[in-house]
Amino acid sequence: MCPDKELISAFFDEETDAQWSNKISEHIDSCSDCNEQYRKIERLNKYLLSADISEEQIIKTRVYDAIKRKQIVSQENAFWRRHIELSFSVLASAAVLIIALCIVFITGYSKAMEIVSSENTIEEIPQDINVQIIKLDEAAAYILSEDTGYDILITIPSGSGLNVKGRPELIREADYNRRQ
Amino acid sequence: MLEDERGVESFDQVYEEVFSVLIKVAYHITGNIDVSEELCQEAFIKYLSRPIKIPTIEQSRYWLIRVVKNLCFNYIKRKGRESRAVDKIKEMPLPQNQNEGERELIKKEDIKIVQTALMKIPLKLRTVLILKEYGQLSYKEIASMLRITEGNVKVRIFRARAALEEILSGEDF
Repeated sequence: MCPDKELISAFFDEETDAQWSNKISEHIDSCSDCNEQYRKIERLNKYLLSADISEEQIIKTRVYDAIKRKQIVSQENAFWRRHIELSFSVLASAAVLIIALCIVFITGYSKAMEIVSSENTIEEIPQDINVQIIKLDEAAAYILSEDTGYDILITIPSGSGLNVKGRPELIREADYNRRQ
Repeated sequence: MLEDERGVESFDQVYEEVFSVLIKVAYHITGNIDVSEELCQEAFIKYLSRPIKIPTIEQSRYWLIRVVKNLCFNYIKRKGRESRAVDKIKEMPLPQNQNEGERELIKKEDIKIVQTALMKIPLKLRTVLILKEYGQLSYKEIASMLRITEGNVKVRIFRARAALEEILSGEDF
């Protein structure tokens, strides 16, 4: 009698009891129907396993790199959360060192501030200098003569109009010609 | 090289050993290679962030397959694509690979034929067969992974094979 087809499938997966396996194996060798059934499963198995994902290697490298990047980030984050066990003597000496450094820093800073404040009195920053200049050429000459790094603000006196130089009648004529 | 202070086996060894299996399992369950790539990455990151080490490659392999299987299920559930995708694929004819002039393309086409056929069988049957064929897990491992009995695994594998043979019967495989 032929075994159940389900049993042949399990036999192919080597999932049958040892006592059954021998009997099924013998039967498959002798029965053409069951042999065909077994071959079908074998063929299907080979067929399924023959299908490769063509870009598998590329994906493999890409995923590995991505994991590596994420792991580096998580390791950097983990540093701040890491628990460090230190003995009391190490902690005490670290505290003394920090206090000593603070004292040195504060005294050094106050001395440095004294020097800076004394240096500051050497030079007075000049206030606004008002120079009256009529022509633009004179203004340029004045700026060049004063070889300084100060900001120079040029203001046009309020109330004074700017006159158009040249011959207005010629301009009007040109405009009239263009319109025609 | 990635350092894995916790494990007995280094991460690189596990990655080398398991990646191929994992991407195939993910791809054949979801049917989407880009999604599979993301899910595999997620599974390996979960593996690395485990507080308790996994001592052997074999156990790591089982653990990773289980995680990726769950991620795939979550993906399918979340997107609700399963039914729509299957409906679409059922209407699609199987890609043909008999063209003599395209020998080089045959291998690339094969996976599509296999995948199209696999997607035609129900997720319940498909998963069991994929875990067996690509994951190379025992019935016992599949049973504990899917929380079903070994007998059920046996039945499902048999049914999945029968269904797949039926679909591929017209094909030269």
